[in-house]
Amino acid sequence: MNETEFKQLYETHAKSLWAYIRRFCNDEDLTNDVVQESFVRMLSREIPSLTDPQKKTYLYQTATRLVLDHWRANKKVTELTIADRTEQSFEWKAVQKIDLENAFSQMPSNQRSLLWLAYAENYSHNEIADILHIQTKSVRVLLFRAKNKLLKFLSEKE
Amino acid sequence: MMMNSECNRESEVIQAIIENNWPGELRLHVDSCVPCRISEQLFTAFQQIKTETEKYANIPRFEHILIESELQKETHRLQNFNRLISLSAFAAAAAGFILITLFNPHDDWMSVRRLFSFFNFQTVASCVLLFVIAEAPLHLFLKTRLKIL
Repeated sequence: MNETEFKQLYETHAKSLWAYIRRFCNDEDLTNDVVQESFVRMLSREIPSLTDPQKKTYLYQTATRLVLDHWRANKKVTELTIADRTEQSFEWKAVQKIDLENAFSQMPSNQRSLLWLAYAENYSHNEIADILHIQTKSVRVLLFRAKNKLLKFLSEKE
Repeated sequence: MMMNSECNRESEVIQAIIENNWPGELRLHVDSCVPCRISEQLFTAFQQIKTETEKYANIPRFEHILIESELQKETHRLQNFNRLISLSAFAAAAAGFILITLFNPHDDWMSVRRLFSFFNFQTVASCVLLFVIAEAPLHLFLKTRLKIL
């Protein structure tokens, strides 16, 4: 990959990667470091030629792994565990963006990353599984539970 | 507010939002399907949050990425070079050890048995010293003059 191609890749994906990591880890300093390191690794390592979507997935994978490695090194628990299932039936109401943002920020980091990759980045379940290093069949279940948890937070705010 | 189930048309709904193209029956379906309605709202809201988050993204300058990448490449290259020096010094010490034991002028030369009988503290100490003498200056040079490793 030459400098021009890399610059184009950087300009296309840097901000969206920053937004994802910022929402994932809630730490702006860590976000800046991770974004820089992700692109540096992509440039300095000899990776086989990838399509543009694969390059983006590679960046997100690398960035996610860097955040998790940082937390492990600082002894923060970040395992992707299955949340408790407490389904109840409520009347659906319109989702308010501000309430959504507040509720989202209170969720566990693993569920934030799932929801962001699915709804903000519109990744498929296979791609989410690749990025988060989990089983594809687990993504559907975990995402469903993350959505329910988010809706539960939103309903508690009403 | 919870969902009890999912709908297998959620991906269609998301695609319709992205393309801004709603087949008539899909719009009717969303109006009557709670999971699809929630997905529609979540997707729209998350897209707005993403756009706003990207507005204040403090991404590093592209030039910093290039410089950092070059520094990393250089560091890896020199670390490999350092390993090569250590390996070469070890090989030199081992060769010196073999030569000292085999070509002893006071006894029959090329005696392999003598190779093992000569394996005592003095010989080992000599080889370690030979290794240090061979490797230390190069290592010191890399650390002080080039300020790496």
